[in-house]
Amino acid sequence: MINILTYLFSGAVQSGTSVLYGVYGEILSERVGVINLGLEGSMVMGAFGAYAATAQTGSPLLGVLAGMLLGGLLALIHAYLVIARKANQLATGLTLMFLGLGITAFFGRGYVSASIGGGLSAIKIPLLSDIPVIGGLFEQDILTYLSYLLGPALWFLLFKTRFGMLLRGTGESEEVVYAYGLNPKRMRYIGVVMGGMLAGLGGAQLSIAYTKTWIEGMTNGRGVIAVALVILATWQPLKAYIGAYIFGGAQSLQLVLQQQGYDVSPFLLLMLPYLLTLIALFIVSRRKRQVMPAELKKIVESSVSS
Amino acid sequence: MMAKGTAAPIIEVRDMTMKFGSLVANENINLKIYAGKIHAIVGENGAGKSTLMKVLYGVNAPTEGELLFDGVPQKLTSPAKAIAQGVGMVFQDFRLIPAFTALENVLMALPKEMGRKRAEVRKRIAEVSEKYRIPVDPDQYVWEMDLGQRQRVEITKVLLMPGTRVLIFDEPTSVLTEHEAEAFVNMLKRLRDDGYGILFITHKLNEVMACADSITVLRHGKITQVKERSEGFDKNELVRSMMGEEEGSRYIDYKKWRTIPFDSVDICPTLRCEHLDVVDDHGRKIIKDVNLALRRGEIYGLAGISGRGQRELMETLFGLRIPLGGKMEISGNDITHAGIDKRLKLGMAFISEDPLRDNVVPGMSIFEHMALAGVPVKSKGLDIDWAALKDDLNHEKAIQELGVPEISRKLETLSGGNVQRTVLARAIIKAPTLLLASYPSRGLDIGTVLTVHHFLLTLKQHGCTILLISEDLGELCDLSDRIGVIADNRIYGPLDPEKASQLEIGEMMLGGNKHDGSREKAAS
Repeated sequence: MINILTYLFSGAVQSGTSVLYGVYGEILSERVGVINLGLEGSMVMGAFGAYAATAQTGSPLLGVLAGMLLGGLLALIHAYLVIARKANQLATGLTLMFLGLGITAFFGRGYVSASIGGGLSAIKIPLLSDIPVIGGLFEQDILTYLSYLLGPALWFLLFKTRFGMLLRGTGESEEVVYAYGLNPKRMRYIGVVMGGMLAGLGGAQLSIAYTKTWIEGMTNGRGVIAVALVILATWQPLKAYIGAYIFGGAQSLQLVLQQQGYDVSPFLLLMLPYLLTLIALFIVSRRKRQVMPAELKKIVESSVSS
Repeated sequence: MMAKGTAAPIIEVRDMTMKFGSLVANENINLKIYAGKIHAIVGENGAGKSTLMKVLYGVNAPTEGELLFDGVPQKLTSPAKAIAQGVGMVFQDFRLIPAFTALENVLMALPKEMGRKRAEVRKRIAEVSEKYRIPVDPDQYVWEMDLGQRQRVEITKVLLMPGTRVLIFDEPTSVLTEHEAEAFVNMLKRLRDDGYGILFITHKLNEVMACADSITVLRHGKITQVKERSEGFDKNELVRSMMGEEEGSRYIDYKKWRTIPFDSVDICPTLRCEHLDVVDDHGRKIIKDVNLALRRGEIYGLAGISGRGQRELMETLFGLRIPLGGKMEISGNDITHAGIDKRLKLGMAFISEDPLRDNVVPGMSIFEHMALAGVPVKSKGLDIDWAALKDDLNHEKAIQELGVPEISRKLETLSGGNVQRTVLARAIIKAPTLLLASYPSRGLDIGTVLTVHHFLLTLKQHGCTILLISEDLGELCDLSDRIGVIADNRIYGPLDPEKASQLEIGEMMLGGNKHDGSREKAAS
């Protein structure tokens, strides 16, 4: 039983980390007032970029950088279309998601059988990794450790620095930020592109640290789930863990159940993470106060009326 | 700070004319703002006050004429330039982010270096609020604040901006209660005594006369009168120069219209509420245990600080919001669970506090709105006889007298005041039995306000019952037969507007009083 729990926890983290990066990324994007449905695209670009660069150069570090770069690039396209060209965000995001999936499927064919050696391997943290049950959380790759720290870091950035205040201000009221002689467009670009880079990092974790393989469409909706989980996290980086690990936990529970030989349809099990996420969203949807960045409401309203 | 009453004006406007296409918004304006002086600009809506203010704040560059700061001509091409010259603007619709705390809003407005120093800015907020008695809690979120508190944050923000020496207030007291307005005027005086130059734009003459050192009256974009305090202010003279000789002498004898005795009981009241619990958007009870009985042909005024559940109450009565408990009746028909269609059939009409959001379809024209709202139409084949409808509407008294714009114009092209006129005209044409009217005269000039009052009184004379919400206590006392007061999540009253003073009502609005015993019981 202890074994199963240990496995479940470390599985939740391993599988949830890429989603966690996605949630961080989308929080940044939505905090500046832009919904990025193309997050899945950024994530899969990140997964592919990291894998390809690692396979070519043998350096996982370069892989991570490539993943971030590609993820950020796709988000930059979104930012440009939405901010400069005033394109419909929902349509642009969906299109970019499929563009990302398509590009990586096309260029990724040669890498399906390519080897990246060890990729990003697990680093054992002394003492912490010896704790029973949760010790597994401290026997992970470097990107996972980074994701542990990123929550407080982003919280500090958003809520304790002037820069973060301007980011949030842009997401609340473009006009007010503009009235102070600041440039809300620049803030939006920064938020969206940084968000895409984080999603790219999540993709990198998925391909070169967690699975150490490349298959087309391997993100399998994690980016889309991340967008939904932002609501669960109420746009707070410190709450990003909750949704991401619920998803990761369901993912690993499904594996555990299969391994234990329970006679459950694999299709039903594959549905589990999404179902649990949906239930989690359902539970929190009744809130006392609207915490959604105010500029996002405009997007929803304008896309309904246009 | 600056020396008090220095000889040279901080800002001088010289022969300024502002045109938008063929429209002349300001013509030949001359104005001087001195340190340590309160300069008031009064005028009706559309008199060009806002345009003048925008020129001073660098939003619009004047077509002709020039602006001098300390005697030196300056071109203000953006608000940032105006701020650099020491102009601070307190906007009517505050430039605040609701999701931020007061402190965060102030920090964001300040220049970079200062905006990073949280602890220091917090200290400065405390200093300023102590000095000018502008209580501000730096850690309260703006969304939790009422309009008066928000205004104080806005003022604090402007005062903390480095180099501010002129403060421009755009209709500052329109969002304040009587009490708050009094405190506001005192604060203005303190700011003046500290050497700030103050420009105070308003249409409320009493406040101006209480504190201004000089008054400039604008009408149709031109200056019609300039008065110094030393020459003495004459209210009637000011009104006439604001509205023109003819309009300025119009007058309604409100007492004559008050025909229902205060204590009379209606056996079958037009609107009856029993133990109604009104909830807000977050599911909290915002007004508890509402017991009202509105008699046929009376105007029942509801006073209260804005945001205390007025909107929620109106929406509940109109069926847009489900009450937590209690009962509602129109002329004896239970409508607690009735849909809006049934309420409309029973003769209910609703003017929302934000008609543009709740009452109109922006892309449709005025006459389409009238047809949509069920103004009687003739048919022509399968279609509506639009020509006949337009003709009828153009002859409609309400449309003519309220000054509703050309009726084929789309609502999205209309100003706030004109939307208000349209919505009012529509409600009046339908001759309802129960009119729920929120802030019916908001955004209208004095002349139109009188017309609106006249129509409301005429409706009442024809047996229509009106539930009136207004932020203007004077208006409430003039129009209402009885007045209820919203405070502490309850409705207190009713008070007799002939007996209760505005001060007394104002005190009740602030809540925490012991008027519980007089809370209205349903007339039975």
